[in-house]
Parts: sequence; structure tokens; C-alpha cells
Amino acid sequence: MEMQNLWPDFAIEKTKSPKAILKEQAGYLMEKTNNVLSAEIETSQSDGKIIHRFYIVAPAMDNYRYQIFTVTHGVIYYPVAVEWESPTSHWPIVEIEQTAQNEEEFIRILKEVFNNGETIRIISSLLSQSLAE
Amino acid sequence: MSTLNVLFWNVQRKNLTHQITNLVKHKHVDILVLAENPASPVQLIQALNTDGPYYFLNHPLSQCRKITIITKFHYDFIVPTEEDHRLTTRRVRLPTGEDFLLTALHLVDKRSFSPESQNEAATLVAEQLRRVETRLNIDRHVVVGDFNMNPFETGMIKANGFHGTMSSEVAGGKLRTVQKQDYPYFYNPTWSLFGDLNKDVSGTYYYKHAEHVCYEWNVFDQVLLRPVMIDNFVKGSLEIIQTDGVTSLVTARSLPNIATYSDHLPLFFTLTF
Repeated sequence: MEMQNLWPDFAIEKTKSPKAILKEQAGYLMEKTNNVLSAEIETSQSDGKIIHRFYIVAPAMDNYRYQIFTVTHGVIYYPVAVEWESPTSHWPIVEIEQTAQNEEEFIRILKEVFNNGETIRIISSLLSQSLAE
Repeated sequence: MSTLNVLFWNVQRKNLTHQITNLVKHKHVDILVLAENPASPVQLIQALNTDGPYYFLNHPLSQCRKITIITKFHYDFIVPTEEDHRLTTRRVRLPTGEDFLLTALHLVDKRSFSPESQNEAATLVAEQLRRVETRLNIDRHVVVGDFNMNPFETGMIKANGFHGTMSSEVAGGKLRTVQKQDYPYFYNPTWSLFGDLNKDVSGTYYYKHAEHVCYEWNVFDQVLLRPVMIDNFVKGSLEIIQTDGVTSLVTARSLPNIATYSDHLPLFFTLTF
């Protein structure tokens, strides 16, 4: 007798991984800066948590990198914790930790991080210095 | 043989340009590392260069606003390679060709973060430092700054933290293997700065609070060296600075004069090449 496939049909998780979203946004940064700046995501594990570090890279400046924020989650993608910095005025810089329960919330937080004054200051500075090279 | 005098000071967001200038001249500082400096770097450079154009601005590429590095050599020889808002890693290029990495940092403080959070932050930063070394293929690395932890705290000593040991002989073993994973040592000479033997102060930071366990004196400001840099470190040079050469930075009780200056005392050491 021919053996039957006993496995059920599995539902494919449609949720995008936080890392996939970060990679997509890294590509968009290159697009926005005419490939003058790029972004790298470095992933590591610590105490059962997965940590993604998001770096802005300036290839024209000998690959100088600045870590803008980190994203931490467990084996399951959500919730994710996003840690970043924001100036309330010139001084001091305030550290912010926000938690996203799902993809939609994560994207909303990323938008906030990318449009934050400190992020814009850093990217503008690196962009100008790279273009002056 | 050439020497590099390094001075680190967390100035507690106070404009201490006058004291910094005195200190730099008094200790013949080559690399000045400041944390929480609110003074304009241009104003600081002008004050430092009253006798001639000896000092150079912080590298313009640097985006780390918590740390300022001013040097007696052009900033092109101390280039930022990786940063975040709490640390800057610079590649120092010496005429002798013996490049090394200098990381200056200011880690999270005890008032806002629990010991567990500080421990976790140490794990992440230490991992970041190992990654930089791997990426740039260099293990000559000196780390200086306000760690906001004492040398004996878990984040400073654990293998997957800074892995700092008080013994240069132990650090000379280069690494320790824990559960099949190799972790490189840092030599942490600042262990030797506790207590008041041969000096008036017992640490770099004083904090008294009404708890059963309270060290009062702490050594939060530290320097760590990878084993290959131990021979470049002048052990006898390490000191906690109590005076800027003109005025005392401590009170009559030998506590940091926080009313006028900083709640941290400066840390000084010399490297030879």
C-alpha cells in the first residue's frame, strides 16, 4: 500500500519579519540619497532575544557607520521593542523605548524614528560630508 | 619612544572650559576626551590654543554628541569609524604605523536604569566593540569612559560583557572559553584606584544614599585595554586627578566639588609607542 502524506496543510505566516521590513527601509534610504548613503542591519542573539541594529553607512567616508536604533524581539516576531534617541531640545538627548504589538505599529514607530530631528540631522550631516568628498 | 597622555572627564553638563584648559596644560594632554560637555568646541579650542595652535577640533564626521574628543594632532589621525549616541570608536593612526582603536563612551546611569538593565546594556556594547574589531580586523583597542558601573559589577566582568580583569597577567591569556565560545579579555587597571592609599580620594565618583549597601565612593570612570595594548600602557601613569594644576577639584573633605565643578573626577593615563 502506498504511504499517504499524513501532514496537514500549513498556513503560511503572512506577517513580514521585522528584519525584512528593516531591509526594505535600508533600500529606500539608498534610493532617497541617490546611493550616497546606505544602511546595514546586523543581527545577533542574546538571552533568547533577537537584536537587530540599524546602521547608517557612509561609504564615501571610509564606511563610517552610525547606529540609529535597535529592534529587539523574541522567537515570535511581535511584540518588538524599538530603542532610539530623540532630542527634546539641543540637549539632552532622550532615550526612547517603544513597543509594537504588530506590523502596523512597528511601521508607525519606524516612521517616527526616520522623521525624528536627530535622525534627520545625522543623515543630512553624513550626506553633505559625503558629497563634499 | 613617543607617548600619548590621555585624559577623560565627565563634566556633568557644566561649562568647565577654564578648568579643562588648566588641566590640559598641567598634564600635557594629547588626547582629551570629554563626556557631557556643553561648551562650544570652538570656544574650547580657542581657550586651549592661547599659547599657539596646538589643539584640533573634534572630528567633523563625528555625530556622537555625548562625547567630544580634542587632540594635539590633526583630527584626520583619529577618524570615527563607528558610533551611536553613547559611544564613538576612532581609529588612531600613529606615525609609527601602530594604529589602534580608541572607543570613548558614556553608558546608562544608575538613577534611570536598574542593575539588570545596565548589565544588559554592557552585553550589547561589548558585543558591538567585538564586532568593530572584527570588521576592521584590529584587536589593538583602548576603551575609556564613564561606564556608570564599578569594575567589579557583572556587566564589567562577565565574559559576554566587557570581560575586564584587574590582572594584566590574566588578560595576557588573551581570551577565555565559556560554553565553546571564545571571549577576549580587557585588562582593567582601574580596579587599582579604589581606596585612599597614596591619594586623598577613594574613587572618581561619590554618591551617598540611605541604603544598607552603599559604597559611597565608586570608580565609574575607567580605561580598558585589549591584551595586545598592555605593553603600551604605563601602569604608574594611571591616576584620578584632584586638581587642575591651579585649583582643587575637590572639597575640604576630599569629595568632588560638585557645587562648582563636576560630580566626576578626571581620569588620566599615558600610552607609549
